[in-house]
Amino acid sequence: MSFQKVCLQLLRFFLTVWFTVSFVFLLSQLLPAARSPKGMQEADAAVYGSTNAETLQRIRGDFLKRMGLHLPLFYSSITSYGESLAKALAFPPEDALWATAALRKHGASPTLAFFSLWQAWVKQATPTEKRKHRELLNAWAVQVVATSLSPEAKEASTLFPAGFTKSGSKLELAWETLQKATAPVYYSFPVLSWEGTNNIYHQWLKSLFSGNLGISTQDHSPVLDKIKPAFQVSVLLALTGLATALLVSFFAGIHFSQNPGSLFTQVCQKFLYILDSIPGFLIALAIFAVYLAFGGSLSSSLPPDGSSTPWHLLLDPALLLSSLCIALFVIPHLSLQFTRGLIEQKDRFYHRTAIGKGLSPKRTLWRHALPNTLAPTLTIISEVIISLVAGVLVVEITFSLHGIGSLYTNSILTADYPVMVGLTLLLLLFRLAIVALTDFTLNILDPRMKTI
Amino acid sequence: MGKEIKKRTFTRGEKLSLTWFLLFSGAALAAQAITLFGQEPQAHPERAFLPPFTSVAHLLGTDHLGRDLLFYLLLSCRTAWLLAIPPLSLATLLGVVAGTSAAILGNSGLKVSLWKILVLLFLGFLYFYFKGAVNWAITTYSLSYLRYGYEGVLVFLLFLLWGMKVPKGLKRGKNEVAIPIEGALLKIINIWSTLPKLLLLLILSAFTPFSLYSLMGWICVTYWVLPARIARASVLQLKEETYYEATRALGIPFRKVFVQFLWPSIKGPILTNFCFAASGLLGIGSTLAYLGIGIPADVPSWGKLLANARYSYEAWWIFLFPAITLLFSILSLQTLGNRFSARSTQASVTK
Repeated sequence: MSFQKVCLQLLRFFLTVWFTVSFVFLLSQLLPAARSPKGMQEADAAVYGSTNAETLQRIRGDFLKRMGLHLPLFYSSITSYGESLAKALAFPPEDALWATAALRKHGASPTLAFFSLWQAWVKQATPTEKRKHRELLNAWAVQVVATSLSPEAKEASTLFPAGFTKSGSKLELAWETLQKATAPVYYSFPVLSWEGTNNIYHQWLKSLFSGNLGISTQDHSPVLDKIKPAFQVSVLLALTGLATALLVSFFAGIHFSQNPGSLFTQVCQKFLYILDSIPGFLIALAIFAVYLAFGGSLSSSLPPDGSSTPWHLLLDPALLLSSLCIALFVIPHLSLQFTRGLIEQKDRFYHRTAIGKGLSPKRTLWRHALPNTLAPTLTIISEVIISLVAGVLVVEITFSLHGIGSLYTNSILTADYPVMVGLTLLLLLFRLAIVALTDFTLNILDPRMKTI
Repeated sequence: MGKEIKKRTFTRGEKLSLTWFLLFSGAALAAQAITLFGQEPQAHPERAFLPPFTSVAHLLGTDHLGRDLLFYLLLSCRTAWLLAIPPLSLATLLGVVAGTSAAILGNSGLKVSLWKILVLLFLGFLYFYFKGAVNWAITTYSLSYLRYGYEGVLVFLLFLLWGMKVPKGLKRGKNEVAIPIEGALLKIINIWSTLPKLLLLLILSAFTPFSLYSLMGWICVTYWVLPARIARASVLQLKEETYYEATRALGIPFRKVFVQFLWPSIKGPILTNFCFAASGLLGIGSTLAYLGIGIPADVPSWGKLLANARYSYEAWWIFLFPAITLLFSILSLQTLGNRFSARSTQASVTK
């Protein structure tokens, strides 16, 4: 493998990683309730529907600011000319909402005229008056932005906010002029503006690089702190189950291919076919039922003084049972495919030559047939590892282990989006790593499979 | 002239499987009727955990809430059937259409004139550029009856573009662009089969509120891949046959070619895949219900019953009966699938 080709492969790998990460980012922005705090989605409107619009807006704004979601989405954004003008004019934040709405609807000069009069009035108004009028203006702005096309809504949007008539007449006149004016048509044309690195995508990527996957909305702990211990449990579980399954499938495959006609082989293969079609959670439940029927219990045998070695962790009955279940999920597919691969090798010419030249069947198998089955078996093992994740999920829920599967399911059920997005990202990257590792190993092992 | 294809008789296992599948579908239909009339499993907590075969009112016993197990199993048949058969049928249809078109059209079969593509892009740009302004005009001058007028004009122009002939003056040189349908389909299939189906469904079900119909939609979106692959592989093989060449030479319309020449040969693998995918879907649907994801809590399901059976193993009937029904449904579908796959080796047009 030349240096140039290795570089190209690495480049392709990193490009794939970047695509995957960007795709997960896109998904996280498309989630239904990504932009409002928990409990404030549209479905909960019956709960908070009577609160006034300004408070809701303020709470949402606070939430977005805290989560960094008030920033533009990407490096450049398309906004209307009117909105970009309003941003350039930089209204103070407490007046920004209604001033932007007024500018977009009625044009720059009337809005600026009204705004200067408003600032003058604000200087001499009492705090209560100020607050009341701001509320009215913001309510008007929210209604305008909603752009309802019904004639009643249009009527309401030109009326004075109630109570405005009592204040100074200059302000009133300016408001009337404002309502009569309309913004020119080019205020609605789209404009491309450059936002720089202060956007959600860039900040998200940056936080990923520093290992910060966000804050869980369920218990406000960092997502990575939740994932780390869960990851250890799941990896321990999966590795134990996988190792057992590999051993059993290996020897089963060899035995089945050497004695294809025996009763034991046929019974075993039939049993494995049936085991393959039973859904995973049924197997887990059956094993759990048998275990409980024989008087077992899931309480772990950890020493009470807290000094638990990894060996103790491994002897936890829940972990052992789950590894057994995982092994049972994986063994049918793996052993049947391995058997098929070995039997396929028996028809090859080199096998016949070896037997014809007097080599014992055992030696032919171990020295010649097995290395040739290694390549397709590796591909199958990598597929099995990826599908293992689904099995781990089911098993963890059944045996109440606090692994990645439990975490994932709970995050979906409680709509804990940061944890969900973080786990999805990890799973996709894990899958990418496994595929890349398999390709690399196959390239080294089998010179016939050089794909680059 | 020509032998009759000998119809294979049903073995005893296949007869049992077919009977069970028909019973299962019948139960689902009955349960749909019952649900339409608004009947739901009644919970009587004072009658919880009644053992089976002890009372006539509750033949199979009751669960932890006192609901009759037999009635609950009947209603769960409907959930399982709805989650397996309808979305899979639609997915198979979509997959076969996609796979066949990819195989027939390949990467250079569909050619579009470059001029039309450029005009299309220009129209798209104009639409998005003036969309804001049109909305402003409609709001300001309250022309609410023109709400969809802008989109209507766009659709009309698109139809015009599609129908019109390229003007003669512009037909110079190589100005037709081939749309790579097969390459695009292969890439999409590649991306779509990265994750195991259970995980993909888990992620997708988080995007819509939990409901039976949205889950059916996501299942349809997930399961079109395998039929597309099978259809594409089979049609690619069939394209090399001489009788296919003959249909092209005779100018037979593609509709007839597909129904009479292509479909009999791809029917076998597609139906086999349908049966095995349906059995897998019964398992995955139950797993999703077991995890509590994708299906709302008030929809009866075998997985949900089994999840509750975990907490009270002494009540073995809550575990045994749903497990048996689920297993039998899965195994019956697999036996039917085996039958189709064995049969497909005989079916071919030339015999």
